[in-house]
Amino acid sequence: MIRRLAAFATLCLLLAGIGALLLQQSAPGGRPADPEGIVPVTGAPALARIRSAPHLVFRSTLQREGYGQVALARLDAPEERFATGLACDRVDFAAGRGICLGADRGVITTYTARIFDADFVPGPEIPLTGPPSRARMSPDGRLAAFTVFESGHAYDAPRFSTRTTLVDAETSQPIAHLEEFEVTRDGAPVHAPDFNFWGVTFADGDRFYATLGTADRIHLVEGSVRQRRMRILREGVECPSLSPDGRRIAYKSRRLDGGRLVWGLRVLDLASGAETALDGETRSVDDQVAWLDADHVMYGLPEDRVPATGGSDVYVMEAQPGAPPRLLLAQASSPARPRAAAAR
Amino acid sequence: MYTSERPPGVDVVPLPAGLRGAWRSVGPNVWFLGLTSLLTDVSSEMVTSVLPLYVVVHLGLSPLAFGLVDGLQHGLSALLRMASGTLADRSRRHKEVAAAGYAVSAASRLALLFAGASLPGLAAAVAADRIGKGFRTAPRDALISLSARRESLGAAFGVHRSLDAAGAALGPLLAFALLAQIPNGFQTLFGLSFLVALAGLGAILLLVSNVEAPTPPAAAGAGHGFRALVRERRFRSLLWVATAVSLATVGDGFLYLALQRRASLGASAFPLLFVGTSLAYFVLAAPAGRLADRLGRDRTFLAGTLLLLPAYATSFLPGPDWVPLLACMGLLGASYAATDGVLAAMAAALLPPEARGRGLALLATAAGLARLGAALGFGALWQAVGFGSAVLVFGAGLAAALLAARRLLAPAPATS
Repeated sequence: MIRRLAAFATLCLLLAGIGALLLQQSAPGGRPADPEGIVPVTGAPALARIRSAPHLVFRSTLQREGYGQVALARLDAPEERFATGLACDRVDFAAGRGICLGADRGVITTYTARIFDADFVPGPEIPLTGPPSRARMSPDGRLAAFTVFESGHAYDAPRFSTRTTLVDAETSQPIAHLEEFEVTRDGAPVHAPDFNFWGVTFADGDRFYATLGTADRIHLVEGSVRQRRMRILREGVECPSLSPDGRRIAYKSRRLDGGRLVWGLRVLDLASGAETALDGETRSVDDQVAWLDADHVMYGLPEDRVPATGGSDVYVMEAQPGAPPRLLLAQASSPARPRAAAAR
Repeated sequence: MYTSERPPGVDVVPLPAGLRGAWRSVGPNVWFLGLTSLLTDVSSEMVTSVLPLYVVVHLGLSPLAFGLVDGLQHGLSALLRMASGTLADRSRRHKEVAAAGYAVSAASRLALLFAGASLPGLAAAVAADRIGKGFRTAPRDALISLSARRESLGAAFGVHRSLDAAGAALGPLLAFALLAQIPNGFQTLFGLSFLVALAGLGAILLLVSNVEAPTPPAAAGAGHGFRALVRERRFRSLLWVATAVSLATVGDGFLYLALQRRASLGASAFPLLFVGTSLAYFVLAAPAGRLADRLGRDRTFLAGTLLLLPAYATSFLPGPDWVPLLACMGLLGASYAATDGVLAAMAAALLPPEARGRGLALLATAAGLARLGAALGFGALWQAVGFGSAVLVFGAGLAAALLAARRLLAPAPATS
């Protein structure tokens, strides 16, 4: 018995040693310089330098100081990265204001949304009822919308649902949940208890598009915040993203591939109703894409580097069939292109 | 009457005086099996408690498909339990059969590590964990029963269930502490979980011994098939009792859901409710087992089941929201402590040693399937008539099941 106990103790010591090594390896900051050649920059002059040119606001997953924070990088020099100190899981930024969906990970993980200003100073916390999924600012920076996953809408535990909330970005006060708005199809009101909304994209300070899921079908809706009303436009459009000129919607389109749900990117021309598959990207994209400019879309994808770091990368491609994707930002997600035409 | 032999070499291990009594009464094998379960539960709860909601959402399964897959896994798990119980009885190698189940679960963690972002891979890894769990339970419980004296069967199962619950409470706490330190450290978490699972596998392989059940002269193995077991009157009564009580049991998930809504807790606080119940279970399981050995297992089981009624009632309690939450966690933990291990002890006392694996598998499968039916029924009822009325219906059902159970168990003579 003593010999067996000794053998077991040895095994435990060995396993504890491996565990300690594993922990040390994966502690933030414990990694060697990242292979992507990203240079963290700090200080007000660096921030001013980045902001003086076209740049992106995004979430950085670089495994060192600044992990998980909102960061900025210039389009013409994307290797320089400025971390703002504001930690978010999902971020969007427009016209001098941003929305940050974050998590406070503890024994009880809590989630909050905060509106932040041009200096990345966050306003009051808006408590979230579940893990964050999508966040969008209106182009004028006055409205924000976010989607969270939520359990408890439905009675049985394995069923999950989403909830989408509109926020007055000037006061950080929630205006409404999309679930409260009236929905019409061909002019007639429709309603079902399983209505789920997600993925808002704003046209202006009032009009927006979003996804309505019901009875295993996905619909594109167009709505007005002031009228508290939405109408169903067409089927199959998920996580819409309106182009800067307001004419096209880029979205993810679901299909089954070998019994597994995958998403391809497509673009819908609102005037003609014509749809184009962006089939240059063959991987499944589960993201609400953002427009880099009038012709290019960008989106986050889970990394494919080995060994895995748990991060993601942002790709960009022309919104045309067959256009090849290209890596835009390594170790980044949730990209936003602040518009030059600031409304304030 | 059958009394198991103590494995040799027991008293070499020095122990503090307080523990010596408990150590002596149930024997080292049970403690080591408990240690195995503790480590394995830490390992598996670490993972399951943090697999975030969005993974489930992004798996892209509709609720119906999810329910189907879940049901299939339960069915498969039940079949495996019967198979492994039979295998363990026939081969008399309970330890090795159980260890195979623990090995499958440990390997599933490795699969998780390499599945990365592949969601089917993730689902397969979770399924493999459950398969391992289904495979190991019956031979492990049989070995616990064979390792303990007949008069301390309750204490033995109590000690084992207590250590098991400790693992279930520790796992989520460790996982959340780790994720607070290392954001996005899921790979690290899966790696650590694998190491802990290996330690559990090491515990059963290195520390646990098989117990030789003496072969009764008449038993050629054929006399204790499932059909023969069911024909035995008192064991059949026990099967009915377990099934009836399980059919009227409201799943703890449902109770927590109701309390969570009332207290408007975030969805993220949900796992903490299970931790609270596991803590109460951990504290109470061993004393409840000893109590059962002294006062009668039937009575303890009935009293423990009765505790479910006030647990159901907590969601109607007035006062601040934390009162019903704490009361519900405490009552559920106490109820599990007085029923789960005690029921296994009751069955083990009725079963011949060479049919323990099969008998315990049959009992667990009957109770498990009944609980699955109860969950589906309660869900439908909640949707149809609301939570309050559904709880009243199930409470009345449980009271009826208790009365029936009392009658079915009534002629049982004292077991010690």
